[in-house]
Amino acid sequence: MTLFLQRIIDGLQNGAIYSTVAIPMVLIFKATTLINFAQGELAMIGAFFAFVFAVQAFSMNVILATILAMILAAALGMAIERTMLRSFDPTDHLPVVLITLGVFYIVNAFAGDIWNYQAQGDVPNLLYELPFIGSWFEGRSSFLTSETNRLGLRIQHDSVGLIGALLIMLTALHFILNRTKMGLAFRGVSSNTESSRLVGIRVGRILSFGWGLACAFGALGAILVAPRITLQPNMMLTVLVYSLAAAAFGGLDSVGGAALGGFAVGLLNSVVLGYVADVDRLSSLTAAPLLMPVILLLVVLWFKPQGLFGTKTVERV
Amino acid sequence: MSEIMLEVKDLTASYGQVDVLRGVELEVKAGEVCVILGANGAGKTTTLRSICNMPVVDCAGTVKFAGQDISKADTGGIVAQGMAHVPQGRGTFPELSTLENLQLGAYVRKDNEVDDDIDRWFQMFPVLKERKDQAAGSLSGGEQQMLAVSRALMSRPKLLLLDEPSLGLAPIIIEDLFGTFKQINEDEGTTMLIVEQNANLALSIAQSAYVLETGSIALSGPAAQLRDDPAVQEAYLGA
Amino acid sequence: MPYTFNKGSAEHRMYRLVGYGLLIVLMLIIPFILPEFQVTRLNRAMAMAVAILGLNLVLGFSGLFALCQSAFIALGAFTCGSLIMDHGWDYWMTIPAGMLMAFLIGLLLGIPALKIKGLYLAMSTVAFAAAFPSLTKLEFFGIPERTGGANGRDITEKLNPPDWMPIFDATEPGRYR
Repeated sequence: MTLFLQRIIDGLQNGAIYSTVAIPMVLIFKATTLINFAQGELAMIGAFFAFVFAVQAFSMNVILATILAMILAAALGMAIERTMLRSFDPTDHLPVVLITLGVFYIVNAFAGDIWNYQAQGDVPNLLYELPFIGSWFEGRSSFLTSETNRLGLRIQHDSVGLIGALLIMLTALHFILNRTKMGLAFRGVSSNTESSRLVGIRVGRILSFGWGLACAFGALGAILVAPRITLQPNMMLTVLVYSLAAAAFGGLDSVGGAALGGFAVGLLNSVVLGYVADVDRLSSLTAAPLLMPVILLLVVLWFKPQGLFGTKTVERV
Repeated sequence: MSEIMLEVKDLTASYGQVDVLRGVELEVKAGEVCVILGANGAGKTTTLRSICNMPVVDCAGTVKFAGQDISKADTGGIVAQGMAHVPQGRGTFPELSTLENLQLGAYVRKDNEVDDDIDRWFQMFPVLKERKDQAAGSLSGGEQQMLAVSRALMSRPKLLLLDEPSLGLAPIIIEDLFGTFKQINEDEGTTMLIVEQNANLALSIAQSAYVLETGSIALSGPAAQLRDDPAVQEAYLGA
Repeated sequence: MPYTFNKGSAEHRMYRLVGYGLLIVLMLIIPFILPEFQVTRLNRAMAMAVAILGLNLVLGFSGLFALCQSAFIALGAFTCGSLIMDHGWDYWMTIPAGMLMAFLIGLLLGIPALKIKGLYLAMSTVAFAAAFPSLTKLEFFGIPERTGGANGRDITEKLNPPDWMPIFDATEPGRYR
């Protein structure tokens, strides 16, 4: 039983990581009905921006570095949208898919060129630098050690921090989308682009807003998880696959769905792999953990493409 | 007051390789209700889209709105200048609530009377108030049409474009609807350009009318005159 | 100044003929004039070009977002590699075998893929392509031994051109990864 609970906890901890890439992906899908395959890489470069500000080139306060990195990442996202994607008809998926894949490779190679492919040593940890609560995250554990509580379970403090941060991000997103004029316009564009134009919404600006918001959140997520999954250009490669599955599972146009999807994928992965490892004949499957999200993705897209919480009209692809 | 609210000259439009409009000319006077009749495929929707310069259409020509040349303006700007367009099929935001739809209608407004206007349309269409927190996509056809019209009027437009507002609605509802149009035109003085296929009712509330046939104007004149024209009667009034 | 001519005309055919002829001449000369390193790179590029032709067929002509071509390249390569190293096949015989294997797997994957629509198919195939490298470690059918797991393996047989071709150099042993 303890083992099962431990697996659940591990699954949730991993799931939080997937959510941080799934949520921005869904934001961009809502705005443009397109999948941004480069989402992971854009988040990764956001984390590197923070690294540069906090450690490599300057020695800023980590919180300040994070904010700057988010702004820079948002600007990068907006630039990509404006220059490379704006001129294409959103109903024709081919150019945009190819372009986002291209951006994926370019950003990855660019990062690899500048920072090489090895994990960086001195990774800034945002959670530790937080006023008041930072020491709780730092004091009793880093991700290398852990604390076992009375139930005999191993919970890592910075995972708790990550999940907390995720909840705060979700709340902020909910506020932005549902209680501001920009957010309303965004949801309008997501719902009916033609009518948005007829209401006077400048759709281009909203798209930029969506991309900027998504990239900023993606960068924040990457900065939070970097200490855990190491800071190197390929850090988001496997995460991307899980996040695709998470976004599809939760519903491609549902932000809450993406968050839940991330946790679901994490849980599923942890529990399934845990039990498969115990079965002799199948134990080698644990060497190919990516198989699970691929199968999940196929199953979801086959039977219920709108996922759990998405709207049926997502079918308009 | 016979100032010209909308003036369209040499309007051509196409979707990719397909030419739809071949030189449309029309004029709508301020405060009047003008109807465009035409069969399927004549280019009525395209005309309205071209007037708003929507990106989906490649159009060229001169369009003047309240004296201003809007031929090259973008749709957002045109709306901000006081034009509202209710597209074919209602054009509501299905996932958003009725209330949010109305709020979006007032997107270009910067004053603080928006809530008053919302209440006003709720008064005129009580069923919208009942369903104000419901997703717009769950409303019936007639209710969505009321919502779409209210949404358009939320921006307090000078000119209202309506694309086949009767499509898919029951006859009783259509009668009510057009009665409402007439009332709004009389109370607010809102100029209206209504595109319709089956047009008895439309002609009865209009002052002037045009007939669009395969991309250009075939007939034009006062509404009453067109209504009495036997050719028009046969083709469009089901006589 | 742009010069136009009709697609099926004699002029077009002449241009095409000359173009292909030049290409063949280039291909024959290049190994002798460029350093070996560059030739190897060009070889790789041409191999990729063949694979991309396949991608063009499914993506360009049919419009299906089958973006997992890299997985099929690997599949074909591993099949050939394993046949050479583990079963002692002759190099040239493995080529049709590799193609057949890829064809069968492609068929298998393609049937469900038909039901999944455009963008969703893109998502699925990208995910599949990303997951494929880890599939080389699965212990069924002796896969890890055949593929050498994550590191790949060397194929230590040289590709010798058939005797009737007047070429003397053999290629270096290739590395499949």
